[in-house]
Amino acid sequence: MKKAAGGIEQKYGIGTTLCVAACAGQAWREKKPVWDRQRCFKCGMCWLACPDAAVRPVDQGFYDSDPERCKGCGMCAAVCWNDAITMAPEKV
Amino acid sequence: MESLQESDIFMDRYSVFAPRLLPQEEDFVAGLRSCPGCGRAMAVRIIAKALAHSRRYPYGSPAGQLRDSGLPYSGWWLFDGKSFAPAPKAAADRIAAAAGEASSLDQGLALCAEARKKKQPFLYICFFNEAGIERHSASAGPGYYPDRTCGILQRFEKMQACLKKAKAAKPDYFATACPAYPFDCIEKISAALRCGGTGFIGMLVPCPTGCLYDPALSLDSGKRAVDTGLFPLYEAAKGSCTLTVAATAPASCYTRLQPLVPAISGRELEQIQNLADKNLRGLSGRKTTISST
Repeated sequence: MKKAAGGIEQKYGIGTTLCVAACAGQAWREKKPVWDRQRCFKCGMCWLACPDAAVRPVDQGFYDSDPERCKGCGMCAAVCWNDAITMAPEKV
Repeated sequence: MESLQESDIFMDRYSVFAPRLLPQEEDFVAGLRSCPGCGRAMAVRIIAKALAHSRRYPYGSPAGQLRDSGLPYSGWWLFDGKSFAPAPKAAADRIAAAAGEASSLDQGLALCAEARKKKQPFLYICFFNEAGIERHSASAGPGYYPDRTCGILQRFEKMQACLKKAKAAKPDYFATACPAYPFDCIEKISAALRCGGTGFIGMLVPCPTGCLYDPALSLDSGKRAVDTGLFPLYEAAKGSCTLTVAATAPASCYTRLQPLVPAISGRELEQIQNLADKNLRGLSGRKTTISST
């Protein structure tokens, strides 16, 4: 990758090991979905709507997100019929 | 929707758990290149679900795996060869679908024509990026104007030009779909596979990065484009053309969501509304001959 001195590549460490480390730690994700099991009625709409196949079924038919795959887009929260999913800020 | 029929309300109430009936195994391999809220990634995943029962996989993709990658890496790597390469007999039934961007429309239609000549079932799914990032082959000139009012008009006019071109190729099954209506999408793919001949599905994929709206609104944007009639969902088979999702919302419903588009004057909004009306006028209640067979 061609790097310009003082450019965006240097600032954000693109093309260096910094970006790889940032991805591994999900430092780029601002929000993450949190399920409220009291409100969730296990319809599976969040599972279907996730463009990254990050929502997976867990125990008792509930759903949760895979932190390795989730990009924090919030589509699962947007399609939830019963507002059971909230997007919580990611702690870095 | 104000004008919901009784049957629609019934379906609305009981289709809540419909995702549970879909295949639970995951053929889609989530890519790291697609943007958050990518409409195309969701479309690919829905296609994987729709094809899971038939155990048929798109041309060019490894069996059991569907991958997606984001622009500018030219998305779905399905058009490996320039012609419809016949597969070994054992794997012939696997070749059921191919997909590509609208920029490769000519190539896809050529594959369709070749499959038709060989009397092989073939489904071509063409993705139309909402932001019009790809270059459309159906009409000349630049197409990427997400920051102008005329951009909305141009984008959707070009999509309609592409669809017109595909319709002129006379596939046995022709439909439009959008991942914002996933079950409609799955039904259409299944119908296209059932018809046994060549099929074409034009799919509008919302693009939050291209249009610069919140990724969470990705499906909402697709829904609005459909509900306003800018990209009506319909299917055409056996000589009849039917609208599958009612489009009753005004065009301003869609333009309101576009943050890049500045304040729209009444005249410009009227032009967009005219386009939506034109799209719907050509469809509702009209019998159209699609296939000569």
